[in-house]
Amino acid sequence: MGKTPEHHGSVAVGVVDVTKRFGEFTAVDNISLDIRDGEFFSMLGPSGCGKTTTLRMIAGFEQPSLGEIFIHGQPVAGIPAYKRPVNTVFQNYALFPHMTVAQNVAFGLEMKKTPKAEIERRVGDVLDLVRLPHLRDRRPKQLSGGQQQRIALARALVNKPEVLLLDEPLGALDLKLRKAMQLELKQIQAEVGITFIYVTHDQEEALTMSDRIAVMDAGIVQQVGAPREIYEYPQNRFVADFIGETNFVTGKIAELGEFASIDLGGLAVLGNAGGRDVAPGEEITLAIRPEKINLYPQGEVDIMKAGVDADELEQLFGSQLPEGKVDMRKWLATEKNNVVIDGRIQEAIYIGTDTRYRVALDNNASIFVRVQNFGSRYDQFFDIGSTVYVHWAAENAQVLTE
Amino acid sequence: MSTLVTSPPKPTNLVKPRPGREWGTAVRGRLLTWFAYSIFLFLYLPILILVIYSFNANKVVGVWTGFTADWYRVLFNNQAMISAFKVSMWVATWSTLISTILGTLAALSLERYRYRGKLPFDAVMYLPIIIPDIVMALSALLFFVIVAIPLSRYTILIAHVAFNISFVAVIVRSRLADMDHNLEEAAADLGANEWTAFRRITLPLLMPAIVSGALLAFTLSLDDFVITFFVSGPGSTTLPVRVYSMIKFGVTPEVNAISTLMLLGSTFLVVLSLVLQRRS
Repeated sequence: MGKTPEHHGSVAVGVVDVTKRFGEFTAVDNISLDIRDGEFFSMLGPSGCGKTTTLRMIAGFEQPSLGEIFIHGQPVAGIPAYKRPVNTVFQNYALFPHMTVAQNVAFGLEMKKTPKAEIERRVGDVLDLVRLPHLRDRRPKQLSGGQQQRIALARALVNKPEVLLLDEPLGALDLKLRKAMQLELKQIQAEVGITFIYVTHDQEEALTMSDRIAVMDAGIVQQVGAPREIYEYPQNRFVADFIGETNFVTGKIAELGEFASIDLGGLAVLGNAGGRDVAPGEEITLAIRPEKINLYPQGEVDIMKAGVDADELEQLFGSQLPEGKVDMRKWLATEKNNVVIDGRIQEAIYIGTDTRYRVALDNNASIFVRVQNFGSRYDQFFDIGSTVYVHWAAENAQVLTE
Repeated sequence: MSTLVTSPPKPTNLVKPRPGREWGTAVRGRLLTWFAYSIFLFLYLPILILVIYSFNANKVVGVWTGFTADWYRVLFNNQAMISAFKVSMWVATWSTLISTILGTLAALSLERYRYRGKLPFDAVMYLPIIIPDIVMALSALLFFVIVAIPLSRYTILIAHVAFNISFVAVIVRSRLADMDHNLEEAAADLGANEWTAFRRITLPLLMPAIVSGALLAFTLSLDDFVITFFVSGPGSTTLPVRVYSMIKFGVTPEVNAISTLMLLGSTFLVVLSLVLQRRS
């Protein structure tokens, strides 16, 4: 897989200070994006965030009110959709109902006056690529949703566009098929090496497929980054909230250092301010993912029940390996930048893969914690009302200012 | 209405419906069926009688003496009737052609474009369908008198185009509204300019609606009496107007014969139009 793009790092699509207004309504509000050659780039956001409008401006179906769009360095203002070197896969596929699959796929090549023999060959090749060569003489109506989706993809790809635009192409498929198509799309993209710009409101889809994601809301790009970056280090509250689950706890910066010391209404904890412009005394929100918080029983525990394996223990303690029982607070404190505070279980819900706890902290805030269920022998369940140690690593708690 | 419709019992409903209720539903169902039959009878019995008496050997309508196809032969030798038929066909053909093109364009403009004055245009567009024929006829006549156009087959044509446009536009527009706008964008996306996209995508998809609109226009033009009666000049009589002048001298089997033929023709066109609409 993974064919290296020819102009690695060069910009396939540049969106520069683009605003789009529909009457009084601002759909896209002064956004700038650089989409690199050969990358799988997603625009992710709730409906009405401006992602589809941005895609349509790149395709040429809408004109920016302000700003400019470049495709491989060329400004495309005033170039109509039919002359742009991009192709689109539409949300509802938009296959021509009065044409066969082969005629649909050949349409773009015909428009370019490609010789007949070449059309024939390329249509055959692209139908092989989407693994539907046997359906060439069918009509769109005779195809299943998944097949229509792949034909729509083939119809766009056959033109070898410089950039392929995909507008929620999997939205109409059922969950199972959608998951299979996600992987297939990613594979096809790697195979053809074309830049994909993918619009979706499904965060899991974006995380699964993208090289980079632009998270959008209210016509503004909230954050651009690799899936891991976006998930682990959200820039603001919207991104943290939109992607995955997050606990938000409000507090005040006490001191800055490698990690920020934070006063969460009387609780002293650590968080990751990671280059953010904050000053001591400033009100902030601490965002922590539920799966990045650990719960341990209070008091002495059998070390083998603490959920750590022997190798790890030996690495940590070397020759001074504690035997038998250990107090988790002391043990966790041996590692740098760990936060350990007291908590009380308010709610415990078993959901198969995990158990979800709601835990009250001493400052009256309550947070959600997900504890993975490994298997009955290793799992430790906490009863409602019991007191626990709540632990997180400082780098996993993000300091957010907006 | 909904109480008259029998639906299969819901699977959760374990209680058997009372026999009385079942009986009531059955009676209501049967009543409704007879009601429908009598309406059909009421509608089509006169037409049936007309058709039957067109084959009557006796010249006096209402006295059946025997079967003959003679009246049809007489009809085909009636020069006035044949010339009226020619005028009818001429008007119907041309008015269909012109109104189909104009009506389709009107539908496209109303459905696909935004422009100043679109709303009033939209409202006025359907006026000829709504207003009484007699009003349409009078205003057409007044118009021709005022602009001093002598009444002829051309004035009939103009009047027919005027009301046919609306019918074509309505049919084409409803099809256009159902059509996925993305298809045209997809064509543009694949490199088709506006004209090519229209020719290759929009037009073929609209074709069933356009043809069915044209058939309807043709039928309406052939059948129209009131408007034509007002705007036809000397020597430019259409078939319905001709028939009307014939019955001034009494209903003859010949009138029955021509009516039967017109009935057949119109029915054929309407059915064809419906079939085409259904298929699209």
